[in-house]
This record gives sequence, C-alpha cells and structure tokens, in this order.
Amino acid sequence: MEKTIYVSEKRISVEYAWNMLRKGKIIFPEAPVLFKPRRTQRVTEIVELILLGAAVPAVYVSELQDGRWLILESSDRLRALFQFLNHACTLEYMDTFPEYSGMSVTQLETEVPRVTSKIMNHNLQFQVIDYMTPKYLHLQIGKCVERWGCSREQGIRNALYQNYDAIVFLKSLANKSYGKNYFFSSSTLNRQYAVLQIYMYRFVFQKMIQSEEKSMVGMQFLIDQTIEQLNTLIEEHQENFLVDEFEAVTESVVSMGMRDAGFKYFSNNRGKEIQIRCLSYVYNLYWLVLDGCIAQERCNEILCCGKFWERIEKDDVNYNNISHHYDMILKGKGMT
Amino acid sequence: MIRNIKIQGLKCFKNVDLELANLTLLAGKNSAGKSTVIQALLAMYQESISSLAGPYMNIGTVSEVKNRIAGSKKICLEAVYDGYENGTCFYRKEFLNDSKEEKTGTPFQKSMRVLYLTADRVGVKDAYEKSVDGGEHIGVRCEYAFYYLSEHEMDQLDEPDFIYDRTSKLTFSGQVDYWLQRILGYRVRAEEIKGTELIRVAYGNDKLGQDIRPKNVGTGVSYMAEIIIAALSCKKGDLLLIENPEIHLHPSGQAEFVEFMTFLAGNGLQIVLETHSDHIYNGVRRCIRTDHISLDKVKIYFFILSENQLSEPASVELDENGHVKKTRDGLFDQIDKDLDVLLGW
Repeated sequence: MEKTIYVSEKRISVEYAWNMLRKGKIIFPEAPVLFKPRRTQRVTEIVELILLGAAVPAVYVSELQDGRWLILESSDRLRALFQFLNHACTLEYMDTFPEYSGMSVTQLETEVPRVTSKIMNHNLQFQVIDYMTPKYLHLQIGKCVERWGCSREQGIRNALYQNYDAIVFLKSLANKSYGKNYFFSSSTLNRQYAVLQIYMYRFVFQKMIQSEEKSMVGMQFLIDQTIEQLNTLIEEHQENFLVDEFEAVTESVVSMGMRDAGFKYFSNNRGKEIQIRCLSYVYNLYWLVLDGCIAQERCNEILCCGKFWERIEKDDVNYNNISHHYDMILKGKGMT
Repeated sequence: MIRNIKIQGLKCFKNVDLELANLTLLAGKNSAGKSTVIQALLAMYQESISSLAGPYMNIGTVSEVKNRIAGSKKICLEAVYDGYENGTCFYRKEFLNDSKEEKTGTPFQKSMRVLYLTADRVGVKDAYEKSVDGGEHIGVRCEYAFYYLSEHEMDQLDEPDFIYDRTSKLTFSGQVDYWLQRILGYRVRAEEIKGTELIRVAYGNDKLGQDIRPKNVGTGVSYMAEIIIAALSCKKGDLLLIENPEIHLHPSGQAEFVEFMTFLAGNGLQIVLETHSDHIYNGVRRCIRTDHISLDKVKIYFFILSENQLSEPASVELDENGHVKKTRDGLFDQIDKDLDVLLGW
C-alpha cells in the first residue's frame, strides 16, 4: 500500500491565481451551490483579512495529472473571492472597513483602486498535494484538514478519478436510483457517495478487496480499491450485470422495508455519513439474502438488533471492523 | 534534421563529410576533432558579425582556426537538412578571411532550434540566476535551466511524444522529475526567490522526504537535472548538442541516461553527444540490441588524428545486436588493455 505523500507549498498572488482560473488551470469540484448570502459572507471574510494584512489560511489543492489544481477547500472562501472578481457579488458590511460595504469589484476599482491592488497583489498560500501522491491520500488529507461533508468529498473524488469508467458507472447508477425510494438523497453527489459506499462494504464482505496490511487499511483506501475493482469489472463487460444486481437489491430493500432498528438509525438527526453507512449495511444484508449467504429471518433479526447498529455507528470504518461486522452477521459473533 | 555536414579547412579537418542520424555519438582521443564538429554546426547556426564568435561559442578568427597543416585558404561549412516545409534544404558558409563570409542556401535557424550544452556547465549552486528573456533560454552552460524549469513547471510538455510513461505527471516539471528519479532517484524543485533575480533549487526523494539544497546532494544530480531540463525543452526536429554528458555521473546513471537520450532521439529530437565514456557508448549499443532505438537512427564516429595531425573520423559500423563490425585501436578499449595487465596477460 503506497503511503508516500508529496506536498509542496506555493505562494502566488490573487491576480496570478485568478489568471490560472481563467486559463482553466485552477478548477473547483462539483459542490453544493454557493447561494448568494453565504457567498457574500465568504468573500467579505477573505477581503477583510487581506485588507487587514492578515494571512489567509492555506488552501489545500490536489494536483491533477495535467498540472491543473483542484481546490479542496470546504469553506468556499476562494471560490467566493473569484466570484467576486467575476462581478457575481458585492461585499457585506465590514466593521473594520465600513466604507467599502456593499461595493462590487468594479466600484472598488473605480473609487479606491489601491484596495483592489492590495487584494490582487496579496499572496495566497497553497499546499499542493502532488499528483504522484496516491489518490486515496489526497482524499484522506483533504478530509482531515477541510472536514468535508459527503457531497463535497464525492465531488472531489469525481474530479480525481475523472478518467475512470467506474465514476461514470456510479453517476449512472445514482441517477437511476433517484426517486425510486425514499432513502436515497435528492443530492446527486450524496447518492453517488451512497452507491460507492454500498459497493465498498460489498467488496470487503466478498473479500474482493485484499490488503496485506489489513489492520491499517482505512476508509479512503477501501473506497479507492472499490473504484479500482469496479473499473476492472466494467472492463470485463460486467456493467449490465452490476446494474441488474443492484436494482434487484434495491427492490428487496424497498419492498421489505428498513425495519425497526435499521430505520431508527437511518433517521436524519445522525448526519449524512451515518445515514449512508447504515444504508450500506441494510443493502448488504439484503444482498447476502439474495446471495443465499443468510436467510431472510437472520436479516430481519439483525435489522432489529440494537447492539449491531450501535457497533456500526461507533466503530471506525476500516477493513478489520467491517470484516468483524460481517462475522457478526454470518456467525452471530459479538451480538450478545 | 541535419542529414549531412561537410567541413573543410576548419582546425584539424581538411575535408570531411559526416552523415548525422537521430543520435550521433562523437568519440575519440582528446583533441582529435570531436568538439570541432560541434563548433562547425554552431558556426553555421549562429548569425553574428563573425559566425565564429557569437552567443553559442567564440573560437577566435578565421586566421586562428583555419587548417594550416593542410594549407587551407578558407573554411567551408555545408549542411544538408530537412527543411520546415520544403523537403531537403542546403546551407553553406564560406569563411574567406577574418572579415568576410559568404552564405548560400537557407539558414537552418528557420527550421530548427539548436540547443548547445557545453562541458563547462554551471553545476552545483543553491541559487541560480534568471535570464532576461523571461525564462525562454537555457544557456550554453545551463545557467538558466532552473529558471526555465520554474517558469514552465506547470506547462504541458510541448511534445506529447516525449512522454515516456503516460501514467506519470504530464507537466514539464513532472517529466523532469520522472527522468531525474529514474536516472538518479531525486526530484527537483525550482522557485523564484521573491524580490530577487535568483531561483532557489532544492532536491528531494522518497527516503529523505524533504527538500535538500544542491550542495548536499551529489554533484551529478545538478548536472543531470540541467541536461534533462534542456532536453525536454526541445521539440521534434530540434538539434541538441551535448559535450560530455557523463560528467559526475555514476556508470549506472549513465546507462539510464542513454535510455533517456535514445527515447528522445527515437521520437524526433536530433542529438549529438560528444563523449569519452564507455558506458555511454555501450549504452547506445545496448539500446540498439534491446530495440530501444533502431540501428538506422544511430551513427557513431571515432576520431583519429593521423600522423600529420589531420582528423580522420571513421564511422563505427554496428549490427542489429549492437556488435561492432570492425574494432579499432583506441575505440573504448582501455578497459581491455588494463584488464590484460591486471590479469597478467
């Protein structure tokens, strides 16, 4: 398992970064839309920092194979700043600089050019995760530093793995799943994330993901291997089979219902990550029934077993724990 | 590509006619004429008041460098090359005296860029200078190679065919790192020191995992990085002239370096290497044998000084397996001679 991380620091001016964006050398992942009030708030924050002479927090980027920078920032400050430079919003009220409140970039350029000059010449610090760093480590670093939600993580993953057939497959399957049942999110990225998670657990259960360092293997590596495995299956022309299989399981889940404990743990107040995790286990339980590995009664028993779902929520997502959960399902280990 | 060069009356050459290939190796004893071939190419390429004294080289006046042993009255240089649009072209320069040159044909400047790397390369420094042209020239001593790298690091390589491994990073700096890592196990970073005319350079590798100043890595790393940057800055059809690329390079590094050269030469960059190294010579032969480059894309010349001090380049004929068809005394045979002594033969 390749673990070497290459990160370098680059300091470039806002103007240089803006030019990079316009040449397509800086890109942003698919992400939830930045609505105007939040956008205005974000750009005001960053402009205020710059005008005060304070350092803007470093922005982590993933370097893609062709040298483009994929912005990993979850706060959207940089995106908001570029939208401000693109005349898409104005500044909010600033305690420290009330005279600039409500101004657009054009107004600043006209009325106080030294302010736009200060903004454009300000040096931004970028932490560039080199392309040669394994993709799963890009995601691991980004998630740790930026504390992404599921949809942002998936948006970034889609960009990092953009040339993979598996990503196209996931998008297609997520689109097919929309509206068929109540437990798949209306957000496209969340649905893709959910489908990917379902497969991740599936492949661990089926021992299709092998790792020599099993105890060390965490979620991002498992997802990376899931994508590789899906890619291999698609190259072997198994795409139609995968779709049919997934739809069969979906039908089981919809018709049989989420039941008791499974449903309780799927409720909204636990956060999207836990919701998707629970959904993945429910899917895989029905999948095991379809595979003939467990009986429907056993599946029902587990769906009602609070101890099981507590473990799902509390345990870290890694190869060892998932394998242990599988043993719990098959053999009842640790259920009492 | 330059197909053929004729040199008359220059230094130790009376009248020689050399065919050039994608990869041409110039070998032989010191002062046997190897560098003179390179100087002839540069004299045809550089256009200044005197073509013998210009931005690439200055070797003096016609009086100083015409062949006195052969009694040459003038120097005549001719090249036949592939023109940019019009098939085969011809260019000739006659140096009649110190102040008079006559030119015929189409200068090959219009069709190709010539990049010359002298043996006297700048080597190890912690900071290098910027050129005044915004990072477009490498410099004959590679003095601006790292500035070029810093200016072009995120650019895509000009020639997609110069990318050996399609899974590697496709940017200029990515490809420099690919080859430097392959040859010597290091990566390089060059960045401008803000507010100065200097470029800071640092190396790193997987084991050390940190940026190391050039003085704290082997000298060969800096020398090799410069050559790699220069070579990858070229396009197909350009001519790259390198003197003694083996400087400060371990034999294993030289062997990998030859893989790099044969790869580029096989993909359209014309390369002339002047070398004293067995490892470069054997590396080229090995690459022919292993089909890294086809035999017809390689030419090796062995320069011998005759008794009357005239250089007589002999073409070294190889077969498809890289074997030499006819050995010659002095042609990379010093190892054999030394072993004979050591083994008591």
